[in-house]
Amino acid sequence: MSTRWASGRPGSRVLREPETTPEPTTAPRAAVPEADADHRQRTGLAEQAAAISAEWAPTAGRILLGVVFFWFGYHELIQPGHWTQYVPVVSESSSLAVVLVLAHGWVLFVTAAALVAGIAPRAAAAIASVLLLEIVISLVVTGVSDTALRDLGVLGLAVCLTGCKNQRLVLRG
Amino acid sequence: MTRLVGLRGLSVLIFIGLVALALAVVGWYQRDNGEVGPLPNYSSMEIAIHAPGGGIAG
Repeated sequence: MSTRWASGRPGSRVLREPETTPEPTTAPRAAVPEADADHRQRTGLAEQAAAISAEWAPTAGRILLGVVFFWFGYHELIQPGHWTQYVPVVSESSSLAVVLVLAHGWVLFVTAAALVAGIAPRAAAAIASVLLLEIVISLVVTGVSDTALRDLGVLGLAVCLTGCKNQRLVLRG
Repeated sequence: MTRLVGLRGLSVLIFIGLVALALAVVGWYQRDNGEVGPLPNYSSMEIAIHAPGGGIAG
């Protein structure tokens, strides 16, 4: 508006009127730009937060999934006896069950490293999805439990990460 | 494989794979739950405690 007034005819009385208008009329005009600026600032902050979230959320999800995999992989590797009960078909007390748990723990551990370090993150997330699908199926076979449903949610995260192309902190080369 | 993960990525994966293998060896040797055997009951043992005066107490 002020630009239009400035570009008007210099001698025009109409242009001078806003300068001589009484205070009651100018007060609402001053309040509107303040509210507008506040709204713009809030919108700007929301957009900035959304941009940061869109940029970093896949990375945060990937690293947190990697931490989960590290924890389970480490414990399966050093205490396989605690995990043999989850091996389907094979006897819990057999050496084959221990070997299977160790192999599973090894894959979890290496996949966790790939997820945390950002080594082929989408491929790592795809492997994580397959692993979690196998875990969920083996848990559901024995009956739906809280653990199975929790792992179903983690499977959802892994599937989501498989489709995320925008990744930060990725190890390349 | 190198094209997919890169040379540095492959190096990291090999290193982590070897660490995991070492942990698996540790896990194999403590596969029976990794629990330490029960401690002996010391209260049932007769332990001689030498008293300051030269005698044996307990």
